[in-house]
Amino acid sequence: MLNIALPKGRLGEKVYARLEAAGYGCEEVLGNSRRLLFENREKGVTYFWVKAWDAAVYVARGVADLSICGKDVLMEQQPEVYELMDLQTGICRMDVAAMRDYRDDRSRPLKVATKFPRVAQRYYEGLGREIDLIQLSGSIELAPLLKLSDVIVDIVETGTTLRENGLHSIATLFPISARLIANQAAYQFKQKEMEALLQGLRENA
Amino acid sequence: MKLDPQLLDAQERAALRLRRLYQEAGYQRSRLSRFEPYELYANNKDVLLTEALLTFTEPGGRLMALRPDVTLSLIRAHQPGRVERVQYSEAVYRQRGQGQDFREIMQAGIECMGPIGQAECQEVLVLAARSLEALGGPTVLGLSHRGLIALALTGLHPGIRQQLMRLISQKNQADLSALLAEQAVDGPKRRQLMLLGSQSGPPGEMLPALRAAGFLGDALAELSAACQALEEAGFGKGLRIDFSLNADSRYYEGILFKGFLEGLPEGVLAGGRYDPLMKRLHKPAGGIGFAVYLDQLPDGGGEG
Repeated sequence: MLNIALPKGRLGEKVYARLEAAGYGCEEVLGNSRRLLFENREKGVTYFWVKAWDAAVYVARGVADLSICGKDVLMEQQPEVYELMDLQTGICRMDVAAMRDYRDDRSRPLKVATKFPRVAQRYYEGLGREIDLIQLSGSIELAPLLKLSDVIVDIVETGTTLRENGLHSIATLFPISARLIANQAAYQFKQKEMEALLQGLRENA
Repeated sequence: MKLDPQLLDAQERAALRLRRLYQEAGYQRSRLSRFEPYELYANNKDVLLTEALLTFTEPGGRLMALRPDVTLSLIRAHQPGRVERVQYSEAVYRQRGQGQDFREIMQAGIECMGPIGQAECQEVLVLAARSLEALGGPTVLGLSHRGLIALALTGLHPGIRQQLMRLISQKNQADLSALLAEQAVDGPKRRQLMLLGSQSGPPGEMLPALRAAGFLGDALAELSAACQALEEAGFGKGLRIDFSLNADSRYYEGILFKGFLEGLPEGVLAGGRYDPLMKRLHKPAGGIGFAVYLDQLPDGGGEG
């Protein structure tokens, strides 16, 4: 049996649709019932919905064999999981963004607002730039507008939100896409089942 | 007074079963202090599984650390010149993950140090397989060889080697392929690295695939001989070759291995050959061993 944690939201629904098309569908997964676990014994899968930010935790802890997780979350949390497939969806990037008139003042630490403190820390350590890290949980674009920070490190998709708020990208850290992740120990015993599911996803991209 | 096994928890029962197994194989118990001089670990931080150490200052002013690792202590105590077989059951103190709290982790294990050769390495591997068997349930023992990874990385820029090893450890084919394309690595070397980063399976599948990809030499021969020794000892069923296992660990060189029990979220056994670590601690000898992580065992699990 493969235990699959689906991240709540558009990404989880999109990838579930591909799994369903590949024959791994399960009644009521996309329904409005209050059930928490969904099982398809014939195909050997169990699904449950989790918060997207927590998906990698379920896999690393072995409660889920598989899940779908954005590269942004993986780069932040660095869980001990296998990244078996780039699902080529949820495509965006992790950027540094600032106000259009921003000029870097190297005489003082750079104030960086972000939801991804470890990503930001590693990036600026690589540049040898001292930073004052401000961890926020949402509306990150507000930080430079209100002069809480000089720059932000955040996910950028089309750039529309940045542009509409007078911000622009000044550097790209890495591209982001959704990844199929697997528990390393479970993979040792369920490799064939996991590879069959991967093949199903490839055929229903 | 007769000992009632029901009074023991899963860790204690497993520790006793393993102690008997190792004793019967000629491994002598070694008791260690829980504290070591801080500099032992500070000078070897790059190979430890933990970034932070629990330290304290002795009344005499010496900075000490609660042991995060057993092997370094055993290497320090090793007297070169003869093959030494030791077993232990000790606690180590590590962070569970980056930035997380410290935990006391009980582990049992063996080390074989000295003028060791292929015979001693195969002996340790068979004992690793026997250890998994003693813990009960379906098991997998995964083998890898750092020499084959090193061969595949030969000639590549040092700056990307660590990245490649991390991607191999993640079985991350997509990013591995992208990085190789970015670095203009193609042809046989690309095929070798993609094989290491994407395929794993029984020796009967993996060894021919490795030969077909152009892997040759002592490392492949050693890996092949190790698989044969395990199969001849009756442990072929759960045996796999998998280069993702400890691929980015700096602890081991040569053969390395990891053991899993079905249903547990992480490996319960890890080990390998660590000759360079012996030399780093000024012991002109070889070393191979493994640890069994007793804290991973479920309550009530294992054989009676």
